[in-house]
Amino acid sequence: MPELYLDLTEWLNHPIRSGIQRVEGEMLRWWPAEVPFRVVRFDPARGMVVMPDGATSRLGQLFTATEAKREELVSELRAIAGSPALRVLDLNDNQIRLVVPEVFWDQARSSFYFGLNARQMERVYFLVFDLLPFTHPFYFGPSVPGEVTGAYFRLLRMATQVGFISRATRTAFHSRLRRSAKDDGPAFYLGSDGLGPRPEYAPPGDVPVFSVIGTIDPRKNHIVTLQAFRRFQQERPEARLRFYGSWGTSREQVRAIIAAETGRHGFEMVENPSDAVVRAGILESTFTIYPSAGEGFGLPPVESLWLGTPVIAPRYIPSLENLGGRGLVFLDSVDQDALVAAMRTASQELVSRELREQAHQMELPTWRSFAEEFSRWVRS
Amino acid sequence: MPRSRPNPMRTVYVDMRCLQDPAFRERGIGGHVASMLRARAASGLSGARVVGLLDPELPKLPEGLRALCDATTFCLNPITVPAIRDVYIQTSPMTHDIADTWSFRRGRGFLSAAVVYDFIPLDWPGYLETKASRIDYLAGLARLRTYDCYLPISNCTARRLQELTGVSDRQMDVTGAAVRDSLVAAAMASQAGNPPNGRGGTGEPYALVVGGEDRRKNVTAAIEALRMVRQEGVAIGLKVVGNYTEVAQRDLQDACQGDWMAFLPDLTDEQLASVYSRAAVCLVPSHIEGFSLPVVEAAECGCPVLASRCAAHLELLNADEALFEADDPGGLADRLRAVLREPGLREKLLRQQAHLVGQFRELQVGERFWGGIARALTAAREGRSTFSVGRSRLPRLAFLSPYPPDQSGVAQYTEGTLAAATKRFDVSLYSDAAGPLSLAPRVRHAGPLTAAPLIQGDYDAVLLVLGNSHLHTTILDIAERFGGPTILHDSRLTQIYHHRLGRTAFRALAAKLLSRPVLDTEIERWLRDDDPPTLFIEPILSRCHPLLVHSRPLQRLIRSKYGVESQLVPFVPSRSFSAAEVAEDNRVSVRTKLGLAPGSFVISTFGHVEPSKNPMACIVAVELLRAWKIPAECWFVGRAGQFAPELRRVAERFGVADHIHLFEDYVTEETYRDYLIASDAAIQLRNHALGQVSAALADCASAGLPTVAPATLIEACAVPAYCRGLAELDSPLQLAEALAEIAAGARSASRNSEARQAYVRENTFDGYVKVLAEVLGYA
Repeated sequence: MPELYLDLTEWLNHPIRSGIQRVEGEMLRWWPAEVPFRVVRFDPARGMVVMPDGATSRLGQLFTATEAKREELVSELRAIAGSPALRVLDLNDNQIRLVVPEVFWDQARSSFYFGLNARQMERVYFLVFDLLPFTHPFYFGPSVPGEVTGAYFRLLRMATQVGFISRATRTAFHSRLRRSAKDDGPAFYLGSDGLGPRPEYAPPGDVPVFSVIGTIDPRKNHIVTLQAFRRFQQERPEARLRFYGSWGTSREQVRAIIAAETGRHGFEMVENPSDAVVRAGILESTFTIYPSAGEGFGLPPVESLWLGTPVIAPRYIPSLENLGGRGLVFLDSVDQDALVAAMRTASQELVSRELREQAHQMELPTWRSFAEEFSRWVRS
Repeated sequence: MPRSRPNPMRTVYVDMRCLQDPAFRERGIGGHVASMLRARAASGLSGARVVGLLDPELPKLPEGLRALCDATTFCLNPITVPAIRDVYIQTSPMTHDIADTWSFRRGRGFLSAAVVYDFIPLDWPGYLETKASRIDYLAGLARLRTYDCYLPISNCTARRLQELTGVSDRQMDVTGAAVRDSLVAAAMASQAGNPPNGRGGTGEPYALVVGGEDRRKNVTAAIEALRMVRQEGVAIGLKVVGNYTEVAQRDLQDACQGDWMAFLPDLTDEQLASVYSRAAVCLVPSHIEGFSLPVVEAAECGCPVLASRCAAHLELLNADEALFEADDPGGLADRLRAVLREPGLREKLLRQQAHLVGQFRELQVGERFWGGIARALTAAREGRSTFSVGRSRLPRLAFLSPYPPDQSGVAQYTEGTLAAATKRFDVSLYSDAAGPLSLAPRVRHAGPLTAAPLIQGDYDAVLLVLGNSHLHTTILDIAERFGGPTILHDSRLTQIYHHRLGRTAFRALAAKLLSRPVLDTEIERWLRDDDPPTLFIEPILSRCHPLLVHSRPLQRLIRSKYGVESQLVPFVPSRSFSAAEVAEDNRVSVRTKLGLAPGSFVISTFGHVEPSKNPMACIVAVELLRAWKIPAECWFVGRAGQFAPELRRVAERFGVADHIHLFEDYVTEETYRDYLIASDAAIQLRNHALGQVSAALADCASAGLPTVAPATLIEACAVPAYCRGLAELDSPLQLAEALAEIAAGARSASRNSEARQAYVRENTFDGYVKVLAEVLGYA
């Protein structure tokens, strides 16, 4: 049986509760107990350093911990990671499988992987999230230069073992990055149940309540959604809209608009919400809206469906591709007109009730199934 | 052939600063200027277009005064045409610095006129108390000599003007000063029902002084005279019209030693007319005046005047009963006593002074004022004056610009512009470029970059060519001070302001423009053109008119950000290529000459290497192309300079060091052209979407070279479809994909396509200059 090592360096160095770190967290949480693994961290001076078990358990707690506890855990993790006594992984050992389930812009870490020989590289497993930082750098703000993202994607392009978080990502990877006719490598669907168990069915309320879940980034189209909502409110003044998320890379101008509007006429911005707050927000909503311009997967809409709240979203969101349109009002384009039309449709009682029932009955992948499939692949 | 403007109307530029400045707006100077502007409608210049010259640093001009002009401007660098003589009126030459309005003087083809009020600061002690103020005043006097005609408000001012400056009689028209029409109308209404107090009117009789805090107004003499008369038991009060501070009022009250004096500030015209018409007499005890508006106002309002024997008063009044010595309150008391006691004397004075009524109304003064200017224009046309007449000739244009050998794209562009401009203009160049300059025939190098062409030059227009590099620092100074027609080559002035001001002052400027504190980290980002919140062009926007831009996106951006309408003069390529040059056989031979490997896919990126052109993305794209089995070789055809080591390091890291080629230093014109001919594709990137054009992209289009560039740059340069736009500004993957598409079609594509031919035909410097001429009004 191979020895599994998970390279979680970025998470260990910068635990910021990003979407990718959420995937890592759920992976650890649901990792099959019968499959042993260790966490490693890249040290530019030493190489891949094996972390003690205590680090793994602390990482696992990060997502559920309170803010104060989180700080404590991060401090402990840093202390553990800095210990000179930690063992350096010997990548010449044929039994070793190194798994990289995260994205990183660290040149030294890229160089480390580029330095591996072909046989070593065959035992490194990369999980590819998306190509967006390379194809649409604007989505991520101006902070990461092309040569830095370029190094990471070059590494992926040269990798032997590559898995994907969606079929859409896999197709983009092969057709655009490798310009290959192949379409191979496993696509793992992420879990929908990250916000807790499915609730009992409850009928929609009379007042249209929309929620947008996600970081305030340019691609998430918060402003156009807010503008569309204000137009919709001319028809349904009682309607409400809430944004749940943290401030991402959007311009100050966007922040200023949202800050100025919050608290006015049925609009709220809930900053840095906990999972419990997001869950409660989705449950209170008649619909969630996910008007993103591009995603590798798109967790929030399937989490919403898992909780029985139907979704307004564009067709191209990868996480929605296998759902047959159930529980969904599709946007043909992400603009004010389309969003207003979708809000109007979603506010019809019969539509709302039917889609809510569909969402409630829908079978969706779980984090357990993701972790099991992923761990099976890296052992194969 | 001389060109004329589409609407060849004469323009009269009027310096309106005295109307912006509250200290003058409410006084005689402001009143006179406003009256004369109102009077223009009935004058021979009623068909002219009046443009008010304003100073952005002074208070806003009140709407009612703005309406006296057809337009207002902050621009001090006007455009004229040879066939029309425009007029410039300096409304207050001795109170507002005229240094900045030199460009409206005779050198630029204007008829310049100065309104002259008085020389009181020189002629009466106590005004020029410091050496500096005396030097300034004498310098002003020296400049006063340089006008073409003069409009003194009185004969005594005219005489003094001649004594001080030596101007001739035929250059002067004495106008007088006008009682405003609204006061005349109020006076007519008031006299009908308002007999003087004590003579049919109710209330205690009073004398009136229209004063002001200026001590030469000599109000204390009036108070002293009244005190003497009152000691004799005569019941008479004193009303003092004008604005006084509390301190000044107290001083006058102390002189009064009683409660028979009242101050009347801020009167309406109706109130003032009533106060005049009900007064027993109006006292004007000034030591010195340039004109003396209270004398004629009083006459219009039916109030007799007792006035001092200063020169201005002696022009208006000649009866001895009405005159006294300013420094003799006893003499004034005698005159006053007589008016109050002698039956019929008040009426006699009114009759003696009746000749003033109707002589100094806006219409009459306006006829003398505008008639004087019209006569000066006629004299100019008939060659009877010191200034010449505009004759048929090409418009004279001065360009202030960098020029080769300055290493700048703007310099090259100006070279192309000037060569084409000689067909339509008489062209002079002002540039700091190291000579001798290589100039096209009929282009004159007139000197280094200074304000001289505006002040001394004989130009119809002085064009400022403004860019973002340090080569434009002097031009930026001139743009801020004078403005005028400006070609804005770059879409932002961030770097030049930072260069000129230094960090601390630049931070202060940014904070002022953004109305918030600014961090150094933000400034560092803006200097990399990374999402700047402003284009830093605000300091030139108010004066630089017309503002000429090279791209429609920049025109839109300036409109949306600043509400300013700029003029589009579409950018054209600096280099042209014959069909033979871009033919396949020539390309093969040029490739051989350059040593380019046969079969390689040669990509070039042109221009100086700068981070804002995202050179790293080119390297990553080359790596991708080679991974996709496309034999890409990339040449940075421009000076890599300080950035060369970093480019090499990244190329090494990506394993493409052998396929990235740099020039350490400036590239010769021949080499530059060779790569435009020999390459299979080009990359021209920019990390911002500010509507900036790219000379290199235009050159690529001119050479028919398929090019990949940001979509915003493609739109800004309006290049043909063989130049492809990237939606993302810095995606190496999108860049590589677009280059791969070019590589796929490279063998079948002709470099001399119909699209190229059409682009080259429609985008020439001749066409550029034609549009420029239209925008400047010379089409």
